[in-house]
Amino acid sequence: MHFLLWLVLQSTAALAVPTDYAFTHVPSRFQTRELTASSRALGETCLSRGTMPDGTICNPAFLPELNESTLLGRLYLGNGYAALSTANNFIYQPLSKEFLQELFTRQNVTSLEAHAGLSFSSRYFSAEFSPYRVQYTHEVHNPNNAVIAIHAAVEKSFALSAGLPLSALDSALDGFSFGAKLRVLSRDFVHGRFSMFEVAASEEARSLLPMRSQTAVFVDPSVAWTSEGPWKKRVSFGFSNLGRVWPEDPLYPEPADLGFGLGLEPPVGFGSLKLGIDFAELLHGESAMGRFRSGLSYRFGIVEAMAGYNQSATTVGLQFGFQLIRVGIVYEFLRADLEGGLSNRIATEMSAAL
Amino acid sequence: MPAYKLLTEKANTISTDDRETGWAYILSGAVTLTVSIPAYYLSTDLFARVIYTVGETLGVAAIGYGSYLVLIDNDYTRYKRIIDRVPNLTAPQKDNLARIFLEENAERARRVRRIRVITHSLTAALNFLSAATSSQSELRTSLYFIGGVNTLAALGFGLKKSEEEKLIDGIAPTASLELITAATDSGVTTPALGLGLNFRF
Repeated sequence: MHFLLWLVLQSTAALAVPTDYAFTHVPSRFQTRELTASSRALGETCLSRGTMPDGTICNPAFLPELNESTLLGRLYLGNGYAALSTANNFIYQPLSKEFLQELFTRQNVTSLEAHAGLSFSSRYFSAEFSPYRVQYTHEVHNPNNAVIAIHAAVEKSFALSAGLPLSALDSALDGFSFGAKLRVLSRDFVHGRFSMFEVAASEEARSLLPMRSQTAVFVDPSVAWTSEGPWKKRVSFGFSNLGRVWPEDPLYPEPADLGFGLGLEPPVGFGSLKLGIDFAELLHGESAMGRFRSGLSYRFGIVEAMAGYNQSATTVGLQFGFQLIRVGIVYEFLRADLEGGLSNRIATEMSAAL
Repeated sequence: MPAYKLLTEKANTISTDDRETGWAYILSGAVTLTVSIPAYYLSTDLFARVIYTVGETLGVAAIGYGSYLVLIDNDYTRYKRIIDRVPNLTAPQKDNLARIFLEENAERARRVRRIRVITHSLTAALNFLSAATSSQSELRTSLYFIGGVNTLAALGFGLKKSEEEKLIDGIAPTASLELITAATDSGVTTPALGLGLNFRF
């Protein structure tokens, strides 16, 4: 009998997934600054990249390269509608015990991201307004004494970017450009864990997951050099997160950091090929591989095929479309930042020129 | 540069671009269809299916638009062909006709630009008005944003000449005194019908 009890306890322990990471961290992909299909599919490269597949510019130093002005409305959705409504409930609706108990009946790991935004890009200047960016994940651990870890965040942000060729100052600086992006964001989020017993015992469900808020103002300046000629080599160097967050929260450390990017656009017979490597978070990155990001894209007519790699994921994506309307789909593989294990995810995006 | 030469260069450039872009659209549209149709049936995710459905539509649209670009000549090429088919036109006459066409095009583009300035200005004003009276903060900021972008667009269209307008700047100033003649159906040029002064500045 004792042996059987011991065996049951051992099996329970074996079923329980290590929980520390999910309870103390935000999944790495939720730290993505640009939540777009192009950015995701290109391994989140930014500094090394000129024009993104959707016609916008990520690195403000490359803004002088833009020839056309575009106003884009964008809707990005990663991983399902049910989780979207759950995340909304956590932030905006009164929490009920029934709602929390229902979470224990769902699959072990649920994750979602969504983003709606407006983006205006023109030569030398761009502006973005994102009234809604939601990130949600929950993980159920230990089926015998179920504990759930939840992270849900809703962000609003506004960004203004400007870029100028430095040859305007001195002809010796031909090919060099400077740009800066000012970002203001406001974030509401809940993060925590609770068990079935805690839900049953609590009088006020919100006390299990108190809502926290943050406001931040950042400036991201960068300098870039682009070669003349058919190969269009790019070198870029930039600071990120120069600014202030209040109140500070260990979940979103966002320290000031440095990045470096190398890009290349080899001439091809048909279409255009772009390659880029970023070394991001040079000062505060967790590991050498954590700093490495790479992406490549090939555009021909209305199709842009993309592939990317960083420590968290290998991605492939496709974007179809004219100037007026574009759709994109991204497949993410081997995303290992959740303790639920490796997984494949699909993100989709629709954008329209307004 | 003489107007006829400018028209010829422009027509050739657009034709070459249209042909290359057209084939790129046709081929990429075919690729899009080839990918989207099986991917639609293989996908289980609802949103992925939506994307591939839109992809199928875009693929067909790209093939259609590409065919249009390849098969249908642009206005410059058509007008040049008309001029070339008129028998016995002298070089200055061809030049005159080309210049009139380019000026007409520039005038049309200028009017379109003016309409755009008015449209974007009105849109901006309405967006600012709606934003100022909105009680919902996200909507208010979005409307201010769109209003700001429309203001920039109005300024941009107001200050920046279109390509058609820039093109006539490339025509060399001319002042010429010409005999106005007419060709009969048989191709014989009749004696002078009058004296014309052609001056452009």
